[in-house]
Amino acid sequence: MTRPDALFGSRLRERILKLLVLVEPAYPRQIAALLGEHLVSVQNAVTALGDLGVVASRLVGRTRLVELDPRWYAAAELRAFLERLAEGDSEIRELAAAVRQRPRRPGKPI
Amino acid sequence: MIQRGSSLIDGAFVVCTAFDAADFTAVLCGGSAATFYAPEAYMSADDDFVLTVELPRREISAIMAPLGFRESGRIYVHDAVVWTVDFPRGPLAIGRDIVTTWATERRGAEILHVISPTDSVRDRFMHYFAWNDYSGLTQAVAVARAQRERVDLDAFRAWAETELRETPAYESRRVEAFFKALHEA
Repeated sequence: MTRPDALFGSRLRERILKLLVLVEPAYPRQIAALLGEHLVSVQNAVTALGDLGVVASRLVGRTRLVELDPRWYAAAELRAFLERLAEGDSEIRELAAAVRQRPRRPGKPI
Repeated sequence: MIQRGSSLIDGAFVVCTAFDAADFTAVLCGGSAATFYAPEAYMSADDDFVLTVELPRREISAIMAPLGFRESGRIYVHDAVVWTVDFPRGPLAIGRDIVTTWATERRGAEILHVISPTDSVRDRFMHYFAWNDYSGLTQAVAVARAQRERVDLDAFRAWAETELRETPAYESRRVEAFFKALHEA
């Protein structure tokens, strides 16, 4: 069987893309922590994916946020493909489920 | 030839002509195309070219080196000018549309392939569409105003509606904001 990571060049790139389709935007340090990877490895993979046009990163304040680039010509198809791949990856889904993206009211106990 | 004082657009002609001489097509796009069409309104810091065939970096460098450019990370720099040259990965596309036609401008013996004025408006607007980047909106409006006779606004609207259907995150109010800003001119 063809492993999905062969399509993306590395297992790390595959995991980053599958994570992003579930959790975006995300920042490199967050991605590295979730995936248990070195920050530099994640930064290099994000740069490579950015060079392909597949992901985009932008500065918000002092934080660099990474997401799938909706401007890419095959963005919709890639998103659907990654969602399908993520369905088959329980580890990625569990990691994504642990991330809170919704707002928290100031002062509310954690 | 690139020399001190050469503008971004001077450089675009020089680079495009060099690739043309090597039988490759390099199409100016992104912010530099907006600068080409609306120089009074927007000045990009780099020439962005998409090649119609993918070339290894060493082949790109072999064409750029005689012009005085050297690689610096992902981009090409020249000692005489502050602007840089980048070759984003193709295909040439704006949103879901793969671009297969472009304008070809001539200046003496030099040639410049550049995305059409309508595509330049679409390209700049994409940043506003995708990221709510207000500067993208102002650049799109600037090109549409400067190239009023050449920009097909009906085609722009039809394309925007297709993008809205395909990408739920995009908002139709941004398309209306474009037309409102354009007509406020």
